[in-house]
Amino acid sequence: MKKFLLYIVVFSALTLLFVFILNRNYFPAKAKGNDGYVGAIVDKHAYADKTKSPRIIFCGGSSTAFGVDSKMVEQRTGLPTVNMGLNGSLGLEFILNQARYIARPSDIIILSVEYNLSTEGSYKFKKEAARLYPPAANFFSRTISQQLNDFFIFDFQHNFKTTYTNLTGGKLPEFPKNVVYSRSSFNENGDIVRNFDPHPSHDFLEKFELPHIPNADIDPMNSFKAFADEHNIKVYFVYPPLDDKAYEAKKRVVGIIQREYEDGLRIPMLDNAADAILPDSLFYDTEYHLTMAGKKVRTERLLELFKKKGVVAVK
Amino acid sequence: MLFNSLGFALFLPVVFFLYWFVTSKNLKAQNLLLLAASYFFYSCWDYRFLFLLVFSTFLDFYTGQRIYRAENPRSKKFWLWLSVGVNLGLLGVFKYYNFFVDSLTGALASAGVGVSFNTLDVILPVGISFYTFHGLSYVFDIHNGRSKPTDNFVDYSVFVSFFPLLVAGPIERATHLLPQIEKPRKFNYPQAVNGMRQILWGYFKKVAIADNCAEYANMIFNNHTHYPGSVLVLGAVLFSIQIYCDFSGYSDIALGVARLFGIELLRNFAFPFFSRDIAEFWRRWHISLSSWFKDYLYIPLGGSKVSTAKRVRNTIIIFVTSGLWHGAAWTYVVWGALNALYIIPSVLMKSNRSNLDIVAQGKLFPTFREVVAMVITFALTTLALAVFRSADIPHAISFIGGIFNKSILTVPSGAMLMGGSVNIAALLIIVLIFMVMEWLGRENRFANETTGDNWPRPFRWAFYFVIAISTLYLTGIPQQFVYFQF
Repeated sequence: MKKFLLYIVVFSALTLLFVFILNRNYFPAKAKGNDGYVGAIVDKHAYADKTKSPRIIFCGGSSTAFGVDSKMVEQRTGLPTVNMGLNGSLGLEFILNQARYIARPSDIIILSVEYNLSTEGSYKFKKEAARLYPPAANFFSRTISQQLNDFFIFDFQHNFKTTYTNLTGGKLPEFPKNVVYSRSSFNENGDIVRNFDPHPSHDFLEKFELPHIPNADIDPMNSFKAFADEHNIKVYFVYPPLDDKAYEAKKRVVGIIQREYEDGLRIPMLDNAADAILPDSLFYDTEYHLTMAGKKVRTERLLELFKKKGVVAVK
Repeated sequence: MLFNSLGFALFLPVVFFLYWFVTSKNLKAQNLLLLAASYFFYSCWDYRFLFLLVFSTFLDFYTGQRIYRAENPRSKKFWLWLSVGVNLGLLGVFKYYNFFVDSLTGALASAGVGVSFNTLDVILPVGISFYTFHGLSYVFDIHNGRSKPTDNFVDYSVFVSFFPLLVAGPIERATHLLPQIEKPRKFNYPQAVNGMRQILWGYFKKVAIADNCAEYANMIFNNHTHYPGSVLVLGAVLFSIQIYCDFSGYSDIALGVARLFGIELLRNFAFPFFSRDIAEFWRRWHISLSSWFKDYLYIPLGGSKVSTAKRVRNTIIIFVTSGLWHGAAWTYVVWGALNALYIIPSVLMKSNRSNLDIVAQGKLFPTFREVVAMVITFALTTLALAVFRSADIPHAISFIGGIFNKSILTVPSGAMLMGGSVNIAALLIIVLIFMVMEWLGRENRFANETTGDNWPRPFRWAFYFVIAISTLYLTGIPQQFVYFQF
């Protein structure tokens, strides 16, 4: 028994030591930049850091990334505009904590969440965002099990790969630069600017499921409102742009969600769900992702709302 | 609590320590510890179903004694059928009721009769098919005079619910496991080392191979209409490898863990992909279930000592029942029926026991004829497993229909196969290395049972170190063990 236990302990210790050494970066295995879609988080924060308050900051999922023309907003309001929209899979908790991290007094936050956005989001996406932009690790909570899994699996895999690549003088595979879902598709403000025409396979409607989840979203958003009030930050809610065909198919659920928001949400709402509906021809590849032309139409609508509701002076 | 979870990584050493260092001198205490640990392990899924496990255990324990002590055959039969009826009744309610109700409603609707029956809103208790079959084998064996009942309820409960086999087998027999539970056990170093090797191999199969194959198999099966036939073939092959590595990986971990406690469980897999015909495949795949059906269904039906027509009938019954055992869906029934169809020619020609040895035993390479036989067997089982994996029969028809057209000759592009945690080319190379290791170890109980025995220690350690590190490195998106749903 002693021999067995000794061997088990030594074998386990050797394995742990190996993982520990790799993860402590004793080898030159610093995380390299990633040209994938989530890599845009680095650039968005860089732009947010260099702009001065008061700013307009759009927060949300990919409907925000695809659906706002920040340059137009900057020109018409005279305020620096940052589009922090990236991916709904990051979850509402991440999106709101990220907004807490970058918002400064006098900023204006425009929050727009997709109807089927979950509070938690996908752990894989969040972890990837945190790998590329380390402060993002504070935007979401992790269980002990997840932390251990990150250390032994996620970090180990990444560090093993980069260490091997560095030691052998090889290169990590490069992400294709000419696709919409890549870091290079975003402009300086954080808008996607490669969503030109409607995607040929415009067949998403059957797959579009709308789970009824806003109740779970309302409390975190109200808590964010309280934070904003404390820090002299203005926050407004706008409905996400939605394809008219998808709206027709899901009108009942969208109506229920809107009623729940109207009853429970303490963030001022600038529009209602029907106001955010746009023709199918203005959508790129999903019911939420606008084309470049669609983005112009929506931004015009948003600027009208800003003017009408006194959010900010608009030329 | 999954075998590949942090919880199990903490649970196992604690139970191991208590077992060998605190209770080792007292068999009763040791068995009580195993029972408590097993119930804790089970309740980590859903403590509410623990009562069902305890009830089923008590029922078979009690009826086993009544069968043994019954004074006449009629009374024996009564207690046997009581046990069978209640056990299958529970299985029927939790697993099959909704299936039969839906099927009946659908059949009546297609005949123009609109009837609506209530379905049950219940979840399937984990492992119910496995522990029900443990208990049934016990009462059958007592009824048939193959074994005597135990008077010790704790020992019997450990036999039914021993945690390594509780949720996904192997399906044990009282004649094999109970005597081991009743006897004092001593720590055996070679047995424990052997167990650790099998555990490591099981984790590698599950985490590095099965979970990564699952990512591609799921992607291809779930979006099959977007892929050419060649990619669908790849999806079907990857699913075959996934389900083998998933289930046999689980069995390896279960057998290895049991060995750490000085207990030998029944072997569940014997390199089925190196089978030369379907009959051999079924002697090597999920052995504990196949032999259960053979002993308690096929032989009582007359087995092979009946007319040809009855032999065919018995074969169909066995395979369709085996399909239904896996799940309450027509895909499983058709999967079973397809396997019956495959095996019937050899039953008719009485050639179903022609490959009882290990392929190319004592040789490094198989003959050309053996290679062809193995490839054909693999292709047939993969086709049947494609039905098994499909969501329903229309999905299966559409998937298989998508294979058999000229798009099967389309060379898949890289863009069709993006999105897995491991690059598809790398995964195929890893699978190939794995299959070579399986081939080299096919004369053992598991592939790496004797690997490195004659090597200097540093090389042997390096080999196992590479397996451990590879398992961590190749970890994909964790997937539930496929057989937990059965």
